[in-house]
Amino acid sequence: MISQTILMRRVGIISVPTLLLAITIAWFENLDGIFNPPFFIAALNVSLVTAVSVIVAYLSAKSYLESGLSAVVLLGTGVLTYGVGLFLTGIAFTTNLTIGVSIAVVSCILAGALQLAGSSMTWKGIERYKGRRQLRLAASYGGAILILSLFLFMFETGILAAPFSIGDVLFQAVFGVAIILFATSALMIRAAYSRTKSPVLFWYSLALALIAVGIFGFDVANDVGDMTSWAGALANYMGCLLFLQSIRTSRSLPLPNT
Amino acid sequence: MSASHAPSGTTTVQDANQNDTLDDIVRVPTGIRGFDHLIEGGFPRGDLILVSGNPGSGKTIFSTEFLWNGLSEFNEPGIYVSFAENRQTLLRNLRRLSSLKMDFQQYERKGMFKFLDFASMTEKGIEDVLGIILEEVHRLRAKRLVIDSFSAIAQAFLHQNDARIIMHTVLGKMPRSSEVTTLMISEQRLGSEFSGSGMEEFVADGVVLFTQSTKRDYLARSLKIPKLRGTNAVRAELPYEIDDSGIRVYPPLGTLPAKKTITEKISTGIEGLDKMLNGGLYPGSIMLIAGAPGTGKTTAALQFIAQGALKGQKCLYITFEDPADQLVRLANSFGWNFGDPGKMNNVAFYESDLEPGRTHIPFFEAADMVEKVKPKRLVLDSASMLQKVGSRDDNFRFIRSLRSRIKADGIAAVFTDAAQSFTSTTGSDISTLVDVIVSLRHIELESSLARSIVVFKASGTSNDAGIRQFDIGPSGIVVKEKFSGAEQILSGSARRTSSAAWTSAFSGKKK
Repeated sequence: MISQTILMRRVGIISVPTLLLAITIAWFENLDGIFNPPFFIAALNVSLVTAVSVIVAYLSAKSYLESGLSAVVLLGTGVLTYGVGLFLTGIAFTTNLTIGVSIAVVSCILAGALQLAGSSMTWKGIERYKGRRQLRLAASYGGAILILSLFLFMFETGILAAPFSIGDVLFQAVFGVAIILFATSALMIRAAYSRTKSPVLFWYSLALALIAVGIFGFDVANDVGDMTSWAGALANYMGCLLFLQSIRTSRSLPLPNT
Repeated sequence: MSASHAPSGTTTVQDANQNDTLDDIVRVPTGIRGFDHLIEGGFPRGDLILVSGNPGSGKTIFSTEFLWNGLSEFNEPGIYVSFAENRQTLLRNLRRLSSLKMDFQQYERKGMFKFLDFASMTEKGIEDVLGIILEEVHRLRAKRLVIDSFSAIAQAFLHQNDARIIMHTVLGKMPRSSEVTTLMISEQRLGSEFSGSGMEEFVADGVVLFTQSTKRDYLARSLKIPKLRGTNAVRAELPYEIDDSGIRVYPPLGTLPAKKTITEKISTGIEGLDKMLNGGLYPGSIMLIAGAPGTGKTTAALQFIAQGALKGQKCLYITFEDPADQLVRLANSFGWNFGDPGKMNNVAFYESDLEPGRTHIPFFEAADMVEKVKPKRLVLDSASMLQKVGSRDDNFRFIRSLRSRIKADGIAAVFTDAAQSFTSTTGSDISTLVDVIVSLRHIELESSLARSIVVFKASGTSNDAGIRQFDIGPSGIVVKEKFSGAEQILSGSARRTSSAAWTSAFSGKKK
């Protein structure tokens, strides 16, 4: 009889290829049908992505303020960027799909880069501790939100034309980079898990992997609200839930004997 | 004897005697251990004192000691009048008081003592008997008289009223006129409120009442002094014991007024704990070290004593748990050799096994020891043992008395207290009487047992509220750094905070 922990881990692991397969089938089969009621994607993004990203960002901030470990502030900023980006994407979708897609691409590429930076530090075991933590944290979190808000403002006002549309080459190429960033981050965290056996890293690496799968779904989707994009969204939301699972496991870890 | 003048210009012996009693009471010490200071130094000279009690409660021993001490210590002749048992029986019974070595014969030969045997007496002969007693009192110039017993006299009368008349007119006046202090023994039936006929108490000048009761399967003895004219006697019911040195009364443990507060702290002997207490412990304060068995309470207490001993301070360790030699052995294992001449030979131990129902003895002895040693550092190990054995009121009185001594003399004290469970803080209810509470706990860390220390209370001083890990090493207790990134330590099963676990995970290091 397997324990609940092992069962959950197996489900988590299987979900990555399963959702990847589901996206691929939806993509190749080119299934018809669009489901995009007003504010629905925005509501889901806020409740399942943005809220979770805020929780992860809060814990990372607390951790950074206590320890000064650079990796956690990079990862926290990455998750926050992703969550806030999808929230703004949901808002933009109600008025202009192109603007929404552009915000999604910008936030994914930015979040992916931050995840890669943080994950590489964790993977290499670089313990970089820096002073003036509150300032650095404020600059990091505030800067990410500010950048995304600025992009949204510029796209909405026409100062900058929204460069990405679903299906075009640039969109697919940049989203492809984001997928690589998240997937590489997931592998690095997974490698760190192999070394440390920390359950926090196990779930975090799966979460990143599922987000990479989710972005793949958006990348190959023909339209917002089609079956492929919903399969990607499912992977995306599940990834966010695994972030929560990562936090949950951190609450039950015993204190090491010094 | 000074005589005062009545308004009519006449002076009577009786008036003079009454005025003596009022103005200048001469005290007759009994010499019985722990008794005299309950009655301002002794019975008033010439008083008739009723010594009443249950059979076997020690009335005869009390009275005989009164006589013997009068002869041997105060050079006061005395007479023992027995209506109950003969001379041989009495002397045989007194042999149990082996330490006193009561040799009444030598005083008989000197003409200072007389044993009057009236074991068989009838109503008709009572006046003759009283005449003989009076004659002997005058002949010996006796100052102390014991009548054993009024109950036996009363049995000789057909009518109780006659006994009362005799008691009142003869026994009530005779002692005063001849300045002989008389103890009159009276039997009290078990469970009865009154002596024999119930009238003796009213006639006598004083009553000493001995009672026996069952207390936790032990026949406990106690006495009280419900009446003693002209004397502010202690009102409390006090325990007493009978041993081969006679009766020993355990007086109430008093309290002392606190002196000026000392503002300079002293070290507890544990460097880390001193830091947690912002410099240590104030003299005149009590630190309660509470924890489950095996957490290191005794080690902490010994370390506290060792620190004082090294500085040449007098130290006293009161132990109701481990024997003193075991504690010395434990101290030796840490390098604190309390027996080292010139180094740590200023440590005194008081050890006692607490017996249910008889805690008054160790309490009294321990308090006495504190008074004699006059320590600068004191340990009571443990308060929880008192809780197990002693009554709540007795324990409270003892702790309160000890506390007042600690405050008055500026003693720095440590009380240990075994917690009732692995995770509870204290096992006794004296937490309000102490100034500092330090809790030692076992905690589970990665399937191993570790120890934590935390200061729960520190009256009148700032303290570090952090929970720290400590080890018991070869030099005693060593307090480590504060637990960081940990929570639920006091529950016994410490765990990391989420943020600490998060940091640990993403540092990429195996921890």
